[in-house]
Formats: sequence, structure tokens, C-alpha cells
Amino acid sequence: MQIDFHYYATYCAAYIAGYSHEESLDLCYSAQFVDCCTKTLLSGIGAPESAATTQLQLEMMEARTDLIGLQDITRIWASFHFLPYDLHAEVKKGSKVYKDKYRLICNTNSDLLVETVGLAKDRGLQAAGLAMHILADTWAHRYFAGTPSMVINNTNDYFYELIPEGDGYREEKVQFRHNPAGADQFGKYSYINTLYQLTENSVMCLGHGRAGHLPDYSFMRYRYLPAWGNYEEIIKDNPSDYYHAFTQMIYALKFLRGEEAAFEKEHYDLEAAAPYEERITEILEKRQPDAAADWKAFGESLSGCEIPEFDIEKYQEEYRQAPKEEKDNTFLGQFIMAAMRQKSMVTNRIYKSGSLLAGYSIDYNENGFGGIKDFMMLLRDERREVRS
Amino acid sequence: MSRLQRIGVFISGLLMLLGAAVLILDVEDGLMFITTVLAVSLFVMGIRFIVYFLTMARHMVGGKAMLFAGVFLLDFGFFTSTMFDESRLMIILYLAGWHAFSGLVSLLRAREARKYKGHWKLSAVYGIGNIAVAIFCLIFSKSAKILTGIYCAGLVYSAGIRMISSFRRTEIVFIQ
Repeated sequence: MQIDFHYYATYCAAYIAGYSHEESLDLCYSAQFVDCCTKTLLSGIGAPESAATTQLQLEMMEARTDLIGLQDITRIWASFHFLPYDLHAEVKKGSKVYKDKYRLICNTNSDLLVETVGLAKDRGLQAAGLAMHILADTWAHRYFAGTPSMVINNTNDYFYELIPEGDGYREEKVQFRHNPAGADQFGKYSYINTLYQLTENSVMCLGHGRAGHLPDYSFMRYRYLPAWGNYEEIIKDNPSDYYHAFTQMIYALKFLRGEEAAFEKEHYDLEAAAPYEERITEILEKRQPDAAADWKAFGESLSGCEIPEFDIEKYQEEYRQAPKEEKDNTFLGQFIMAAMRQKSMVTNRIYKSGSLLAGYSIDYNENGFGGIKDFMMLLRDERREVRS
Repeated sequence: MSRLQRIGVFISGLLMLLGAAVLILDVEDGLMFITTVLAVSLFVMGIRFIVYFLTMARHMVGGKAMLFAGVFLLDFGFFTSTMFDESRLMIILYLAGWHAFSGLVSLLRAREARKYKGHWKLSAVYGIGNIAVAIFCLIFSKSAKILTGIYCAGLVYSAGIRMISSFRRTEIVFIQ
């Protein structure tokens, strides 16, 4: 997904869920910030790099794809953008490595999603926004895994776009090309994707890179053969998936506000979205690379307030200037805390499933503190929570 | 990393350092040694591709390409091993290509880091250094001593990174 959904649509969902204009702004800012919080940015403001929630293209190109590098990449992408669906899935083919990678395939309504939303409960707007990013991405990024893997994430020539025509759909063969400086050509059904490399762990095979940006466009419908699918095709209907994401966000946000007693799988607040269904569907179906303007107009019509453009630097100076002991209490400090908590939880679940793809997890209650020192802030936070 | 993996990574770093030292001490046979390493690497890559096909890629849509790649690399490895006497051009291309690519990526990274107000100077210096080395390879392509020296410097750098990474903390704490 892109800024149109993570920022503007999340604002709309938050406002419909009952948050105020100001709260909705903080929440959607945090949701979008997940796509900006790189190691480069964190080092620039003097924050722990372990809190990175995404990687720049060149950061990935420079990243070593040795064991440590791969674990770092997997922690970031599986925790925040491709939440694994079933870490204990029965896989009756391939080696253990194949099985471990297969189990990282992202899909909607997973146990991990329930844990993710639960983790954000009573932990502020930054944690809520971060959780909404992850929730929304489970819809856009389903069927791909947040780890470099050719056997899971590769796509081939069999890729068709489905374009609504009359009562049905017209099919157009998708042409992929690798040109990082180029742009998608919607009229020609020609899209940019990552380079085909004959390497299992190439970063080119991370997530949906081989399918280009198609999963991130709300209007897109397509059918293709996933590498892992044993030649069974998948039909991806983004407008429907994105609408589900939107209504699930409203439901989740109502839970985080305390209006719903629990967050359960397969629950969507269709009722709250019903008055706006036509307008939302219109935005989602509109064939355009960026729906930000439409979502912004919708959000402003909901609250009657202006939604400012996303400004990546908005809270950076506050974090830079804060004394060391106060950094955790700043806006970005709270975001960083939520990110570390999420990364720690997902790494633990992957590790407990018997896979080392995201690295080792040390259970504090059993073994005390160990490993990367940056995560010491989780301990500080835990102690603060206990005290209060 | 597990303790065993850390030891393995550290030892591989030590072996690389040892290889660099041997090369420096015996420059005359250096080029032949590098060609041997390249040929063996290609051969091992070919084997790895075939194993990869058998254990994973055969379950992938279009996975047979991995089998073909494996066979091709094996063949290329054999071919390289027959070129000990004509190895200079291959080594020059390998060294210059690798350093130029690394340099370019580092320079782009520096530009990106600067845009995000991150630390960019070290990346820029590293990028310029690598591109300078690539140009050096081309200028001094006739000197076995310099080519071997550049290859050794790369080996020492990689060995250092490996040995340092074997001491890195990588585990993540989980608090219930």
C-alpha cells in the first residue's frame, strides 16, 4: 500500500471509529511513518537503528545477504509489511528451509494479526497507527513473504491484469520491465518490477518486488501463478481487499478505543462504513496511481478539518532536542517503542515455530536480558508500565 | 547466530586472511591462485544450484531454470580452470567490475543518506575509494603485483567484516 491508504484512508478509518481529528492525524501519521522509518533516518536523529520498520532500496542493495543480514531483513519486512499467516502450517514438500520460508507467507486474519492489534491496546496512538499499517498490508501483500526468497516470491510470464468491462472483465497481459528510474505505464499494462536473479536469497525476491507495485494499487485486479502455488493461479481483487482492510481497520480501532471488547478474526465493521460505501468504492476502483487526493477530500468531508500533507520531518527535531531520558516520551520515541515491541514479538513467534529466519529470540522471563542492547528500552518500558 | 555458526564464520574469516597472506608472499603465482579460487567458486556454485533445485526449486513454478543454471555454472567452472595461463583478463574484469559496482552503490547510498540527513560522508569516501580501485585495476592491468595486491585488500576487508560479525550481538529479547 501507499501513502494514499496508509495516511489518508487510515485517517478516515480512525475518524469513523470515533477518534478526534487531532487523534486521527497522529494515528495516520504513525501508520505512514512505518514506510519512512529506515536505519538511515534513525541514525540521522540519533535513535536506535534496531527500530527500523523499513529499508530504502539502496540500503537493501548494500545489505549483506549473509545470515545476519537476511535475519535483519526478515525481521523488518515480516514484522511490519508481510505479517506471516500460519507459522505452523503443514508443508509436505521441500526441505526445512523451504518449509520455514513457506510459513512466512503473508495473509489476512492471522493469529499474529490478533497479537499485533492486542499489542497496541492501551499503548497510544503511535502503536495504534503502526498496527493499522500492518493490518492494512496483510490485505495488499497477501500471498508474498517478508523474506528474500525466490521459491516463494518469484512470479513468471503468466500475469494478466483484469479490467472491468461491462458485466465482466477484459484481460490484458502484463509486461514487466526492470528500470528503477522508470514509471509504471498503465495504458500499456507495462509495469516496473525487480530484476530476475537466479539467487534464492536475492533482495530482488523480497516481498512483492517481482510483481512490481501491482499489489499496492487499490484499483488493480490481476491473476498470476505464485511461485509456491503448485501451478494454481491466484486472482487478486484489490478493490475488494482494500475495502475489507478499511472496514477491519475501523473494527480494530474501535477495539483499541475500548468500544469493542475483543479483536477477533474475520470481523469487519461494515455497518460503520455503510453510509460511505459508494464513495469509498469509487475511490478504490478509480484507475489512478495515487488516490491520495480523493482520500484526502473524503477525510476532510468527514471531519470538516484540513488534513495536512505528510511531513516526514514533523517530529524529528523534537526527538533530536529531547534530553536522553525524555526521548522515549516524544512522539517518535513512542513510535520507536511500538516498533521495537512489534519486532520483538514477531521475531519471538517465528523463532518459537522452529525457524531461525528472523534470528534468535531470548525470553526475558526465562533467561534475563541478552542480545542487542537497543532492545533494553523494552525493559525500561515494561518497568514503567508495572510502576504505573 | 548460534555459537557453532559464530565459530564457523570466524574461522572462514581467518582462512581468508591466511589466503591473503599467502598471496602477498607469493605474488608470482598469485594470478594462478586467484583463477583457481574463481574456478572452484564457480564449480561450488554449480553444485549448490543443483542441490537448491533438488531441495527447494523443484517445488517452484519455473524451478527447472535452477537446474540448468547449475549445470551451466559447473561447466563454466571447468572452463575457467583450463584458463590458468590466460587468466589475467578474467581477473581484471572481475576486480574492476566488482569495485566499480560497489563504489557506485556506495555513492548512491551517500546521496540518499544525505537526502535523509543521515551520515553520508563515510559512504561517499568508501564509494570514491572503490571506484578509484576499479580504475587502478584497468590502468595497472599489466602488473601482476598490483592486481594481486588489490585482490588481497578485498580479501582482508571481507575477512575483517566476517570476523567482526561473528562477535555481533544478534539475539532479540522478548518480554511477555
